Amino acid sequence: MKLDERPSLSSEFTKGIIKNNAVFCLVLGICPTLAVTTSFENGMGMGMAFTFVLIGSNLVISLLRNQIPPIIRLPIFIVIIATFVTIIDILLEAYMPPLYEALGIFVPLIVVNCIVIGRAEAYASKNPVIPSIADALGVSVGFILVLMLIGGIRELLGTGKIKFVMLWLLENGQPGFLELATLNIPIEPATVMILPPGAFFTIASLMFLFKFMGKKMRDRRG
Amino acid sequence: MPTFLPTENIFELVITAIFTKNFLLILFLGLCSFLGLTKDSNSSIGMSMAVTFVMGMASILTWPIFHFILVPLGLEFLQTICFILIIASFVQLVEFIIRKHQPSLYRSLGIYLPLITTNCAVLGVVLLNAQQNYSYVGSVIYGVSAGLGFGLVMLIASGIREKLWQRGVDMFEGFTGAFLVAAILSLIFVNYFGVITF
Amino acid sequence: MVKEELKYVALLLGIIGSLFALILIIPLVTLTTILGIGILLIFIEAVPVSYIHYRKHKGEPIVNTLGALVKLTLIAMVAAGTLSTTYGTTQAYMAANLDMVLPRIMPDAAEFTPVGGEDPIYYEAYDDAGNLIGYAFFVVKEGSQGPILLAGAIDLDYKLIAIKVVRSSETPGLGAKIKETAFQSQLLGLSTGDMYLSPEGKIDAITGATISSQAVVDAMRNKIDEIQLEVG
Repeated sequence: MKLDERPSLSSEFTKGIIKNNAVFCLVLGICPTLAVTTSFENGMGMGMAFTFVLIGSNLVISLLRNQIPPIIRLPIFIVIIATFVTIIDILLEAYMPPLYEALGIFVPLIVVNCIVIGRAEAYASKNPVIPSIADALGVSVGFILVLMLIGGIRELLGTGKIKFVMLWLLENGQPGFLELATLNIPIEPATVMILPPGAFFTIASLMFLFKFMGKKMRDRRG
Repeated sequence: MPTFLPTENIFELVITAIFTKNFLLILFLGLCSFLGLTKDSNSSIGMSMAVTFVMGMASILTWPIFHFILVPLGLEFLQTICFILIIASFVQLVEFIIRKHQPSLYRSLGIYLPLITTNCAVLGVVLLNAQQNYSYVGSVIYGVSAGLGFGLVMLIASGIREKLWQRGVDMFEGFTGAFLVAAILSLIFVNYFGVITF
Repeated sequence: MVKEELKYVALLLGIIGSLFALILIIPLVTLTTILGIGILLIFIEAVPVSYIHYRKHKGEPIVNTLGALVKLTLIAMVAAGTLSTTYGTTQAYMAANLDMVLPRIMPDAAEFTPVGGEDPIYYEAYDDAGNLIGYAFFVVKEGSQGPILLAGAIDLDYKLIAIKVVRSSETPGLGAKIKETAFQSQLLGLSTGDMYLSPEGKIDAITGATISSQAVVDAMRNKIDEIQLEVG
């Protein structure tokens, strides 16, 4: 393939955010999307852990892509992904215990997340390092945005307020969530939004909206 | 010292796994198969049976590895990598055996087996077994009951979705409909079975 | 047909057996894990597939099994090495970070002076002006699933003012409720005379987790008594 035929890095990056959004368009990785998004903060934490694993595994798999015999590629992918998952699990336990407890078994379960295996199989094992990282970043940003959106909606409707946070080094030198702003809404909170039914309801509505908008945009284009 | 015989209340374990902490609706495990395979009830039955079988076997296989190898050696942090490898190799082996000896069973069940390796419900059940420190019998019972709870919801949801499809209700088509069905079922499970306490 | 199946089962048993033997005999844990994972991996796909191809093409293996084995083992080795290094580092960090627990449970204190040598019995807590405002301590007690590490702080009247579960492996949903404020707040403000589970004392045990509750209450009471004796 000639160099100029390659899609540009920026298109590799952006296609994962909207056009091929993992959750809304491809409907992959639904389990963590619903399970840990009880708040904006947890959604962001899960997204960060996911990003670490996806970038790490895409990087290593794309480095080794010419060395992996095709027949045993799946177990190799699983080992590489599981290694990164275990690393982030250990790190979270040590440096961010509250987040570690909130995410529970959903950090180890990134191993079986269809998005990670899918990107390894479909992209990283066939492309050079830099585009693979761009692809991983794009997919991750798309995933984090969805997690924060769902977490934000559930927190807002379920508790009546939303705490915007950012992952940063706190004063005591440990990584943690820095509170940026809190938004209150003057309605009676509905606890059901924090409970499991609220998660299903939120994603059903968002998906309906996403599909509706997509259809409208296609119609306009002709 | 790990215990073999259940020290837990077995009735509680079964009810918890099937109803109060249902894998699909409350714990959000295994939703990919829920979305993909509840379009018709035949495939949801096949998938549920395969999942129940693999969950039970995975509990049987991983418990000794965890309690007799990983814990004594202080290698609990390797649990994820070990469990996923055990599940993957077990599924591969079962597929291999079924394809050779039971072609009819393979046609009805075997095609769902490759999907199970990446089903988070199976890895989830063994991770929960390890986290909750269940006894050997307890973890096997928990694994099988979790599979039954999974199957129950798959069946109900596929029935509802089939009926809606036959009636031609297009608002409920596709994934949006699957999520709405899940939302309603989850509301039922949370409200009706949430009152069960032990 | 049957013979081939038997061969396959024998191979499987042999692999599992050698894995166990390796783990039991060789003390280098990392190495055995690497080998174990490598062998397990080969079993997953390389063996069946190469075996099938071998039969299909009448004695011409398509996969270079030896090459695959070497590659898998190398990858697994690097993975295990990375993991054990990370684990070791974070464990060391977590141990070193114990000292950061005390300022968090006793925010009024500016300085903690250990009393009792290498493994301090308690810490004297001083405020900004240098006045003694209380004592803080760590205590370990066996719970229902393993040791529970607790941190606590008392004022000068030996009444408990703060309690924190630093590390525990109690059952989530049952014994793990010792971490919740609903249980912990019952202990606050008590002196050791009242620090018993009901009916002897004022503290209600967590339903279904009497052992964990008992462990926390006993640990706190005994430690405070010990400090009281030590201070004089």
